Amino acid sequence: MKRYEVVFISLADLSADETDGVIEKYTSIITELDGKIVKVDKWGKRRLAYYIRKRREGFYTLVDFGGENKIIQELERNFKIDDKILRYQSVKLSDHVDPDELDREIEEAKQKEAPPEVPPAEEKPEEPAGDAAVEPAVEAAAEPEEPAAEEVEKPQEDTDEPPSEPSEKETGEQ
Amino acid sequence: MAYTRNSSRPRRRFFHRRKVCRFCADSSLKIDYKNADSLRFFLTERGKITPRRINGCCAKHQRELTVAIKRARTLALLPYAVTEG
Repeated sequence: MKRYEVVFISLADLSADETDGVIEKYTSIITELDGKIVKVDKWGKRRLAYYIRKRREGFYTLVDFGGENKIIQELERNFKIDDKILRYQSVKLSDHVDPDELDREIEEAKQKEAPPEVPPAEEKPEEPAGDAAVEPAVEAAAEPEEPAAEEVEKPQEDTDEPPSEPSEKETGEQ
Repeated sequence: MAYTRNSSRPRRRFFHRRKVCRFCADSSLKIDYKNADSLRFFLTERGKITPRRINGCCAKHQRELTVAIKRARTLALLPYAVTEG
């Protein structure tokens, strides 16, 4: 199983229901082909850095999932056909992912999103894998508010290193 | 003898400070194509990727950086070119 990350840009002028429908369509493709969705992250409407199809805005969605190559093929085939998709990009994050580990990650994400709920881990020791793959997608779709833009602080360049070695001293050997 | 021949070569006039790759210096910095604002630092005003001699990155991180910037460009998070006027 491989881990992928797909970002796609859909039209910004769709209604909220329509964008949800678009996202639902692609997440269902993933789950139908035995993919495990780790998270669906809606970045929301953003201004594009350049015009795509004469539009300056787009709705960004990121889907992080585990699965096989055929999912990407199917997704991209659909992206190409779909008029509502302005742009898509899929990135392979890693070649070999343990499905169990994905499940664990999905569980963690679920608990983070719904902290007030009592973790029912003791009651159900074995949960069917299909369930676990579908649920987080629905939950993530229900809660669009997420601090998506984390800022990475950059240290200003103040590492004044003294010049360590006098560069380029050739030893003339000829 | 060898030394004098060397010193007769035109010496570099500029004194230049050895820059340290910021990603090597601080491992908490991650190069991520999704974080366009942090990548913007490595672009010129025209939207070009700055060369290593300007931004001081090491070869490894410069390579990662270019890939990340190009990915961000396809997603229209960063411009390919900024043409004003």
